[in-house]
Amino acid sequence: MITLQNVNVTFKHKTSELAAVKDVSLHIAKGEIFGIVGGSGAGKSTLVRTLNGLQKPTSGEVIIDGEDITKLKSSGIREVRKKIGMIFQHFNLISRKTVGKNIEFALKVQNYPKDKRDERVKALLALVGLEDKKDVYPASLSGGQKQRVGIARALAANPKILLCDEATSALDVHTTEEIVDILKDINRKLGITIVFITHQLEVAKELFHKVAVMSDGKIIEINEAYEIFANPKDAVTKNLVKSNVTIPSQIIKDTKGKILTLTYKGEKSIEPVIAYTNKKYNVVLNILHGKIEYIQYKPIGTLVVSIEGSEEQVSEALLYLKANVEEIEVLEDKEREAV
Amino acid sequence: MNTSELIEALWVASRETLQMVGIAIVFAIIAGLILGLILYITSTPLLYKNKIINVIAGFFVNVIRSIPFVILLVLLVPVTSMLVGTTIGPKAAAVPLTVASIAFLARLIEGAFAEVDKGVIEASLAMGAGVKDIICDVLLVEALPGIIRAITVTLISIIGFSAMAGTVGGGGIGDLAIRFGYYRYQTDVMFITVILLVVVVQLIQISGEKLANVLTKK
Repeated sequence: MITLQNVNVTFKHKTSELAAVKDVSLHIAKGEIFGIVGGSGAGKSTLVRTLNGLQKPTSGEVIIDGEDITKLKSSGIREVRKKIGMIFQHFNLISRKTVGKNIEFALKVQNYPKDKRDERVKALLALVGLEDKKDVYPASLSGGQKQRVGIARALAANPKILLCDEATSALDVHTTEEIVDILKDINRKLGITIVFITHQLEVAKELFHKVAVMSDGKIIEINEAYEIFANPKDAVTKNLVKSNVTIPSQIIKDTKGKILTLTYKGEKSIEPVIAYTNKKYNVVLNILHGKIEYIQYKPIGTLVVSIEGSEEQVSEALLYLKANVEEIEVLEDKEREAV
Repeated sequence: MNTSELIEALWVASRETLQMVGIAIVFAIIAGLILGLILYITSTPLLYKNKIINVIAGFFVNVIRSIPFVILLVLLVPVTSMLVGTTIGPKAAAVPLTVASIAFLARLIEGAFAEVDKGVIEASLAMGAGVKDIICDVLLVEALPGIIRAITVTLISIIGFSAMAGTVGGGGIGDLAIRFGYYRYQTDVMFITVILLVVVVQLIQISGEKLANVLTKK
């Protein structure tokens, strides 16, 4: 559906050059929800804009549905854009047009038959659950409702691809979930390929099938969403997806013995391991904090424990734990003092 | 001058001012909108950035705006007599008024367009909209309150300028005030014309602001 081949985007200023996207190659399959994550300034926004020609790459190919759009003239690019919807962080609705008129504008641009526009607007609003908001101005809508209008507008032309530029970053947690659900729904119902860029890992866990991690203009890792979170390969990815289990510093200071962070995944349960360690090695494992996350319906668990016992017992217990969990991280004394 | 003469003179002068200002604002709106659009579009990379056109249009506007209006009045005399056939009367005075207000309004309208959210323009481009769609359905729609404010400010300036145009043969309220209030020491005439102008300007400003606010949907 979408293939990027060695795409570079360099912004030239009078005295300096800024390489925003560096040699990016990737493939996005039809019907996939493909996420690009990374910190701010990683080049995500620039990269996603090359997909509909809002940003022309300095070099490289952007192949949409078999056609290299970097070779197209502006009229050709306009035709491609009509097949690609896009939603934005700040919704970007026309403030002086009603919700209905905003969507109608998209239909007008597409040369949608005039007499059928009203019907289509109603159908699109029904799709996003805003049937009763046709005649109100965007200012009177909540953020989530505005984004739904954005989605309805983006879907006006029955696009094959939907680009989402930080589409949930301006929304609260609850509203973000609402929008994520709508996107999942239209992906399933309409089979639209979704390319979603975000720095919100919660959205990534919830929504994406496949994830590309971007840092400093480069794609450093691409994998299935679960694998990215469960088995990050690159150091940047590890740092990015590292489960942020924070324990109050007072607790860390007061805790005796070593502090361990255990990561385990899949269907394997951790309780027998803990119980067995306590019994077999005669140590005391105390649970300080724990959580389980589900990514594409598969669990990843994180458990922070303290371990007390004689030095020998502890090191044996550690060996046993290492063999039975996915990853084990020991909080060093130095780090503990720094807390 | 007795009261009925004064009312008569005021009436005539008001009509002359109205005519001058009316002609000037109508042409200024048409040409100012076009020029403002050109200035904005040619300076915006998202639309149709064109340095040459932008510099030429900008230069034209700046030249007119840098000439003091009294001088512009005199400079444009040949143009006026060519266009209107005379250099006396409100119609003739409307020519330099129009030229000055086109340049004035064009800059203000450019500013009104620049206030339009770039994100909305980008969203329209992403839909496949062309420059024409964006002008009609985004720029003119979103900038309308700003354009109304720009027209309000321009209208008030034209009224001010019209007093100057009056003194070189255009007639109107300003001319009346100078001829009677200044040359003939009829302070009451001066006083009445000033009050009349204050009231008119206030009304224009208040209604322009009100209209702009009603049209703003943010």
